[in-house]
Amino acid sequence: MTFPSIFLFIQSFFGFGQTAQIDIVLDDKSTRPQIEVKDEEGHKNQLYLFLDGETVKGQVHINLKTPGKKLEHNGIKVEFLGQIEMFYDRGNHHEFTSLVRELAPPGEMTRSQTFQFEFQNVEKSHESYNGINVRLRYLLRVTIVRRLADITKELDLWVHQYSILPKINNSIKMEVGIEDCLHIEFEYSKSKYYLKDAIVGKIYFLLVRIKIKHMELAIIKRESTGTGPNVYNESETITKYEIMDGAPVRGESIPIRLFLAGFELAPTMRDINKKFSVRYYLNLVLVDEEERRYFKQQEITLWRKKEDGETAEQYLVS
Amino acid sequence: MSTARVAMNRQGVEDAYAEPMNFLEIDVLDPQTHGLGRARYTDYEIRLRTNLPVFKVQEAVVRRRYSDFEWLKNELERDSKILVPALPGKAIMKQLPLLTKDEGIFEDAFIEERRKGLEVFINKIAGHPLAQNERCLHMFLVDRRIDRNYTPGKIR
Amino acid sequence: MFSQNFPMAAATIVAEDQDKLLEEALTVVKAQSLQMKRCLDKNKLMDALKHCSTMLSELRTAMMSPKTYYELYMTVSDELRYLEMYLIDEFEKGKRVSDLYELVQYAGNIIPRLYLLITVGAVYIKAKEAPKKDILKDLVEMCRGVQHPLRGLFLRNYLLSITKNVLPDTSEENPQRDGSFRESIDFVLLNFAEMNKLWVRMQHQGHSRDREKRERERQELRILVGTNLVRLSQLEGVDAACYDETVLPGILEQVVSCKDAIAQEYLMECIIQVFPDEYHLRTLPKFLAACAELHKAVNVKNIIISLLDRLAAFATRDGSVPEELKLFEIFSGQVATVIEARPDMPTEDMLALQVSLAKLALNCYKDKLEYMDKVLRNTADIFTRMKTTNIDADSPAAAKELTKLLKLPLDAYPDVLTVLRLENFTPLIAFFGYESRKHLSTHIVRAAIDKKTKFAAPESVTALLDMVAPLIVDQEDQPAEKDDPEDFAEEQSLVGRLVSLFHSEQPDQHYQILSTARKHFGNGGETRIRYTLPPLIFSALRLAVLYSSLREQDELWEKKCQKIFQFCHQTITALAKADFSELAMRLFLQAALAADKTGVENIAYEFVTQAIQIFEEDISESKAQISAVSLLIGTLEATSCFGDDNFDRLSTKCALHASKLLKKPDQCRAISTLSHLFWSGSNAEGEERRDGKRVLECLQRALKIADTCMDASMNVHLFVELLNRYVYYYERGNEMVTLKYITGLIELITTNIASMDRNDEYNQINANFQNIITHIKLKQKSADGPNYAGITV
Repeated sequence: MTFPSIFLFIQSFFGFGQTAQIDIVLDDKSTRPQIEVKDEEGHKNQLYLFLDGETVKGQVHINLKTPGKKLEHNGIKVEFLGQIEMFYDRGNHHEFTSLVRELAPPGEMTRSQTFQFEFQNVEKSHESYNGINVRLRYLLRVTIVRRLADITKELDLWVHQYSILPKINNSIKMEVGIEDCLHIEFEYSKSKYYLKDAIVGKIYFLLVRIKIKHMELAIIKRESTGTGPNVYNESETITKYEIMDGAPVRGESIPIRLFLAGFELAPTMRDINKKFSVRYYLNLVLVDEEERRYFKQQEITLWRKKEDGETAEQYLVS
Repeated sequence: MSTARVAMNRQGVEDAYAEPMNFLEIDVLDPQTHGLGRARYTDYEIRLRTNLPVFKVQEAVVRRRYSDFEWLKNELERDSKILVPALPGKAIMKQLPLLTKDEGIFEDAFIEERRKGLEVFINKIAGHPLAQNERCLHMFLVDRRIDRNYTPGKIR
Repeated sequence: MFSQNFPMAAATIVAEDQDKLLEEALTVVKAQSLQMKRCLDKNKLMDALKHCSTMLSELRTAMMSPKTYYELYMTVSDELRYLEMYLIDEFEKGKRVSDLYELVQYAGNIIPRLYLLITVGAVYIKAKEAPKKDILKDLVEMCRGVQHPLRGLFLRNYLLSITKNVLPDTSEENPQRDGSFRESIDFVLLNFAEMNKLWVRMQHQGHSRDREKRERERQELRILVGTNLVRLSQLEGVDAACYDETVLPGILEQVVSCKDAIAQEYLMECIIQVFPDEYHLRTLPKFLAACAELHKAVNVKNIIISLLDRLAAFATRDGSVPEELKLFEIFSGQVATVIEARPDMPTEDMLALQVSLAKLALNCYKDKLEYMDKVLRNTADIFTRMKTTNIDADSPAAAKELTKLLKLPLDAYPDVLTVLRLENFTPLIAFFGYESRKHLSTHIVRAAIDKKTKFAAPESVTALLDMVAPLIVDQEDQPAEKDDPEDFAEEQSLVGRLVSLFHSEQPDQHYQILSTARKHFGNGGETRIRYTLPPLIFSALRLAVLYSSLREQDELWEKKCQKIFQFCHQTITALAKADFSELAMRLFLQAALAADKTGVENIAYEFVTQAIQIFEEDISESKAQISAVSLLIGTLEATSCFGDDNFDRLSTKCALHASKLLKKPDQCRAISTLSHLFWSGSNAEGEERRDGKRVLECLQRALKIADTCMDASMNVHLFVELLNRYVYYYERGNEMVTLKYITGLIELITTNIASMDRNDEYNQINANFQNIITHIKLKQKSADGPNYAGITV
């Protein structure tokens, strides 16, 4: 994920004068929790986990590669960035947060140097997200501005957005069916689930005039990106979970209990900066003996609950 | 949380032990070959047994030939959004007497094969909730004769 | 509305050979279970669970017959034991089960998931981490997800078997938290209801033409459902009261509502078998009321009978039924209700119910005749309602049951008189056809004889003979064809033996009894009286003798005797008229002997003359004549009442008939026998007549006849016999018989015997002759005794 290292490599290959290695070290690196995140290629990276409002503070070490040679620059800065990246429109980053700290005015460096930086109580209004067509990322970027090619170093951070217990969390209860063929009532105990919650509910059969073979509940994640005519939708089935084997008769209730903790889920995101949304649906599917599928999708909201012992300001899930 | 459940509706014993309401059984039986020469054809007994109220009758017996099945398939494809399953093959080669040494499409083994195929076909159609709405299906299964000049329409 | 689309055609399931299917499945099971065990041994629980889940996926099959699926299930559940053992071990070391309980719920397919959940659940319970009752409740509720009958039945059976030893019971340490036997009852009852539902629903699966096959398959699976009841019966907490209030109503609600004959029949039987008899006694009305509500096709009869027989046996074994428990009334009432509720019940089933009811009545309430009688009346009511007139014709099976029913009291009561007190017994017999009536009658007669029942009143005799009427008189519905003569003789001899049971210690009463029997037997027609009347006559004659011996106490004795003799006379005459001449003659002679004992000469004379008259008129066959004559002579010899005149007349008649016999040897022998009449026969004073002259006349006449016998060997034979008689009389002191006759006869024999051919006949005759000679020689040597001095031998 760290593209800038490639630039560094190129520069040293061509051997233009002095080069420098930049390291960004957080002050609380030994205590800050880390999280494993997969990138597009499926590589796992350990990222520092931040919450909204937490201060991002640390040091930037700049090591000159060739001792004795000086490094000319037009200034050194560190930025805290929040970006939304559309994969179909690469390069066109939308930055929703951008904070800058000047580390050094234009001049020249003759020896390796360390700079302190601090972004106090930074607002991190969105949760980090790695999707199919979109990525929402936070990063620290150090730039040594130069005439020909800047030397930069980025450090990706991961942000979790906690929500507090929803004030309203109605159950989802609905009667659906095909006239004179199949009437069922489904009930999910809540409409909003935190990420380690369990979906608990039941399916109640009111009329069964088709030959049902089995029934499953799927969690579908739908990622929408873009606006207007350029909306891209990507659906991903997180899990398919068989909840009934065989054919019920009228009056049967089938229990549902599906734990979420085992799946890689992000909270529901609605219209993040008018760029993208991530929504979740429960898809109830009945399959008959001829393999015909009858299904009903119902949106649920996923939210991140503050785990014990963590601190962060809490927001209400809208 | 590992044992969390919502309360189940209490099912009455009447419902618990009631006969399932989705009984539908169509047998294709008793192939008979009639006529001579070009007018020669085979028809089958189509026996419907059901407790689905959409069928109005609980039992019906009619005789149908392959071309009737084709007619039904065409009607459904024209008038409904149903993806109609395929019929068993037409057996073009077998219809050319000069090319076949045996009885062609009137051979027992072929007829039995076709009978099975037609049975699968009609059961699939008849069990389809949308197909059940189509007048042509009901005519096919219940009426003694198929009126090809009927007015297509929906049952419910 | 549902969104909906049309799928690809389902692949047609090829009907696979079941063995092959099983083999393939077992191969997977073995392989996966091996992997699972290896992983467990290396403590790789997650991997082990994955293999286990794959193994369990084999149970998702839809292609196996119940039998094949059962085999697979057994193997799989065996393998699961290993996992269970491992987990128990782990959690005894302190691992947490709750996480695992959650973990296994991620399995995507419901069948493997629930098998795992149940397995882990059992460990969870044993680890005591969470309240038992909550886990049990969760398991039994989550199983609802499997609605497929076959797979659901096995899954729930697994639940039942794995929780077997962990159900909370009376000894639960912390019932507040873990639940008590109450929760266990709820658990099993719910599981039972769900299993029964699946089992019944199974009937509706597949093509309707396979109904019978499915019925067979369901029968194969019934034990799975029945295990629930077994489990309930194993709970300590289920005492009689709890059974009455909770368990039985819970079971019956399902059984009755399911309206499925196979389920109902099995489960009712199962209830009877698995719960103790004491409980059944307490809950009879409930159980039986449920019986009345069962499906028409259920053989309620078998169920009720099973219970009846069990309770009857129980009552017999464990002493009497508690007084307050109206066992009979309850059963009787419920049986009636059941029969009423089922007009289509086969008659034989209704009767079989009555049979069992009767067994109950006889086993538990032997003294209460009214119970047995009530059963009989119920039965008659059934026939009346069904307008049955001949149950044999209507239903042979029912006739069999009726026979069983009627035999029960006959065998159970100590005597047949008790049966006679059952008002509804005899009327029931009328519903039989002829053969069955006769069969039963024979049984009754035998019972009476075997039990030596005494019928001491005319009424009881009438009742008995009415009851066995098919043996006594011709029946309207009797077939025209005659019985096999031997069978008939045997049957009627049996009836004859009844007479020995007709007995009163009061002579007058006894006479009444005989007259009553006489009337009944008299209607039996000529074929029967031959067997039935003679015993009556003998009994009457004994009675006459008895009166005679009681003459000091009963001044009317003579009149009574006369009446009896009239009775006998008239009865024997009836036999004579029916052409049983020999028999009649013998009986007259018997009567004569009896009359002789009472000392009434004219009656004795009358009887003898009746005998002679029959002889003269009806006995023409020569052999019969021979025995008749000797009987006549013997009878006369035994009498002692005749005055000389009557004696002369009768002895002359004897002599006449003796000499009229067809063959010379017979004449000879009869006349030589006749000689005894004049010697040892007694006169009216009771002395021997000792009329030596008449004796000699007889002997001489006999000798003359023997002499005329042409057959040489017969001739000698007769001489030897006569020699014997001469010797006899000589030695008895008949002075008319002198040594001259003996010497002459010996010479004659010696001469004739010499000319005989030496054959067997000769040997025998000679031996007899030599015996006599030896005898004489011995006498000659002895000091006292007759004097044979004058002869040389």
